[in-house]
Amino acid sequence: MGNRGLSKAGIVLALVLGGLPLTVLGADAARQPDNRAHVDRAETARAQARAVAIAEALFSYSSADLPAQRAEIADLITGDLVTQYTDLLDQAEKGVREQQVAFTSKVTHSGVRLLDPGKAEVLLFLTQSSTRPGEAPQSAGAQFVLTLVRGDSGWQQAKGSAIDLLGAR
Amino acid sequence: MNAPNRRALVAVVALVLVAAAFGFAVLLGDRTTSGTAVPVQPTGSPADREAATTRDDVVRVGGDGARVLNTLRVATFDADYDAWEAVVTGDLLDSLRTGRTSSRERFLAAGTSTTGHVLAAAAEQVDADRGTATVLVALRVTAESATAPTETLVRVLVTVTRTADGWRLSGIAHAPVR
Repeated sequence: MGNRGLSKAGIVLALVLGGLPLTVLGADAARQPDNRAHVDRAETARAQARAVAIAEALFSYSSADLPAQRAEIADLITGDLVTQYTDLLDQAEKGVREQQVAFTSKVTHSGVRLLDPGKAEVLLFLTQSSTRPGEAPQSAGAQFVLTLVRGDSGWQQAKGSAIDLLGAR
Repeated sequence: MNAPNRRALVAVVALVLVAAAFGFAVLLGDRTTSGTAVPVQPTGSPADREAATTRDDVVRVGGDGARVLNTLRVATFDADYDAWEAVVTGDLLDSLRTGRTSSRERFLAAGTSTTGHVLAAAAEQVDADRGTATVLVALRVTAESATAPTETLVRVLVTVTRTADGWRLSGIAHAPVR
């Protein structure tokens, strides 16, 4: 994704999703016999809340706080997703700085489809708004499945380990 | 969240038809839920197993219902529309039945077929006591007409309601960007 790609409408989605490789959709994860999603309501709610917080944090940043963004993600994601997300920021950084873009993301709907003792999968519908000096804000929608790995002290400290973009490109 | 209401549901149906008229897809998909999947006995207490079964039922019905309501083909209009009526209930069913003739005329005049494919589905909220649930569904919809096929990613919110014949869709609406 070059600097040129960072202007106009396609840019928002590119920054949400660009650079993140597709992962294979889990083969009917919901049918696992130990799936506790919506069975253990308290744990489901915790995993859901954590997924929402991680997704909104990952895709909310501005030209002014890129260093802070890089530091913040250490508590949010793990494994291959760290590399993927860092690569994404690397690619976006130049354009974001030049255009003084600020992104704010809000999860509008979410659902836990899998919750087992160590892993959760959450389908998220997200809206990302972007603002530039002197321009009207733009918004774009995205949908993806965020996989969480449970923290030692519970879902409140879970980290994102993978994002499935569901075929977006 | 606000449950998708009837107006929104009807709007989706209308949108499908409008989209077809303009030659681009705005509809939905198919998932591993229908037909071949072998149910797995959930673990846990009887109450837990019941909750797990309910969750799987609403996700399956919601996802497949969204696929059905985003599939409407020129060559099989009546069969497809029968499928629409089979997956819905309540006011939504009434509105589909009322609009069938006019929908057929507009749809066949437009000449664009759409086929949905479910990419992912998950329950946002399940209320087994009230017999309602909300399901998020992400779909890919392919539209085909005289020109090259087009694909669109679509995300919808489906409300399902328990009926005497099982779970049915009582609402469907696009998840807006806002």
